[in-house]
Amino acid sequence: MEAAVTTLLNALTLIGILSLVGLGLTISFGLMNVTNLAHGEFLTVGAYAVYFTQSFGGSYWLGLVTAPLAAAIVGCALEWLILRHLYEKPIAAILATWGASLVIQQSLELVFGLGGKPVLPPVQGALDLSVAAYPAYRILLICIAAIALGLVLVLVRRTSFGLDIRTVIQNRTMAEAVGINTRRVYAIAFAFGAGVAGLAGALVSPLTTVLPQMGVGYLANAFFVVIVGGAGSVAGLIAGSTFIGGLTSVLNYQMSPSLVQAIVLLVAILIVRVRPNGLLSTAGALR
Amino acid sequence: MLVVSNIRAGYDQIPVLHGVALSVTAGEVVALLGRNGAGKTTLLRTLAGELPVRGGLVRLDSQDVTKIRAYRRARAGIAHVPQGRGIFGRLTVEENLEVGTRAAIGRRKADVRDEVYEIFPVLRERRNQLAGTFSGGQQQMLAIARALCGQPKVLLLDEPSEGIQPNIVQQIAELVLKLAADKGIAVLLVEQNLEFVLHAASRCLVMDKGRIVHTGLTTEFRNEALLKELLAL
Ligand SMILES: Nc1ncnc2c1ncn2[C@@H]1O[C@H](COP(=O)(O)OP(=O)(O)OP(=O)(O)O)[C@@H](O)[C@H]1O
Ligand SMILES: [Mg+2]
Repeated sequence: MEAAVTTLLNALTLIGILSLVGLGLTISFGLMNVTNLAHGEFLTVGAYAVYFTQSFGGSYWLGLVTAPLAAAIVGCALEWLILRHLYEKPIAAILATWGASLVIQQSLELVFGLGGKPVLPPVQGALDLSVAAYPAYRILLICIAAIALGLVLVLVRRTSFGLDIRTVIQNRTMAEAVGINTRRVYAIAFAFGAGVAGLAGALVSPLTTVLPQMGVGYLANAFFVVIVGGAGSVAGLIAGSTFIGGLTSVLNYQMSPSLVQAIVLLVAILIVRVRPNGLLSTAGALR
Repeated sequence: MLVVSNIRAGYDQIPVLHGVALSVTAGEVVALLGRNGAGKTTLLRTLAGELPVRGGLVRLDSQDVTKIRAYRRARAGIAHVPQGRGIFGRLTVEENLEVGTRAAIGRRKADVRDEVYEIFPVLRERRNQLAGTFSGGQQQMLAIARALCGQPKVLLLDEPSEGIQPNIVQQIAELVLKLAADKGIAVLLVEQNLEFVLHAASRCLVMDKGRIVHTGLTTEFRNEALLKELLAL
């Protein structure tokens, strides 16, 4: 029982993080047809933002607000400087974002120096859940991630900007013809995805050491999530995260992490073979 | 209202329009005829700002819109209902109309969706249905309704009767005529269906190989011999 609850909560932690990181990818990869290899760096920037805030005596909570802003600014810059020129050239975009990812990693190393940086969690200790004790910070993380995802869903489905995004994604030319400034929508949607990844970075920062390369591992997993769940759909994103995060957590309990990675990759490939558009593809309509 | 002088445009390296001039005044329906591949769709897409203008001028009232982007032309009052309708199939009817109102941003304050639903009661009944599930005729109605939500000054209609049942075609022709008369919209209509043209348009332009080769009143086009000669049907 105790093991089951712990595994479940581990899974929820991972699912939350993967969903938040995957959101930006499902927007850029699924909807704008850009393979953004610098997406992991948004998470890294978010984590560094929390470290930076704390190094000035700021609280974790201030860091949690700064992180998505910092990542969104970096996202905005990447879109404006590079991606907007390459929407029609997907291969060039892959190379350019790969380059950008290296530049961001090196810049972080130059500014903050070598070595891992510590981030202090806002709450310490464990929470007694009667059947099991679980780190209080991780429970907080699960709650924040769930709230953030809920807000994203509301934004996409219920607001007028969400409608603009869904419209542009379906038919960019026609969206422009009805009076939507599609360049602006692309830029904001991209920066938004980056910001949410930055939030994920802030959330994971107290659980690991903050390193310039920390985003790389998340990038790969987030791509699995998006491909397995079905690119371009928020529901698919959550389904994909649940699948990858759940499987990883259950297996982690039994065997070594590298074997787990291999198995998860294998199962992901099998799923994509059976359902090439992912578990819940909406074929080009963010829902 | 809409004045086009000597415009040139095309695709990448291929010029299609070789200096087209025309004008449409408020409340007038002008039909653009011509063989397949004459450049009619290219002309409408260029006027809507989808394709860049390589030479010449496009003016709306006194505003020069030649160089501005498509979304700003839409907001200036040019609505485009493209060939194939271009509805957003994965949005509901209501959402399609809501994005239609984006073209009125900065120009008109009132939301005319209720008024548009009055004109198209079927759409009101199905407001929560996904537009992609509609038949061709309903989609065409929706595309026109969406354009009206932007309160346009100019309406560019590309083959509204294409792939639609004859009785609906008749309805759409009457609607176009009425919209121009009641709302003072300038309509530039590309249409292969002559019944439609004879019913709705007051003037006709004939296009061939990227040039306007003939203009005249619609009545003149009731003469079949002339029509055959012009359109080489
Ligand atoms: N996307 C495109 N890229 C390159 N050339 C194109 C493109 N679309 C059309 N053309 C060419 O431009 C010319 C004009 O085509 P256009 O579609 O404007 O004709 P049209 O008068 O609308 O014909 P139809 O009656 O078949 O709709 C044709 O020679 C066509 O082959
Ligand atoms: Mg055409």
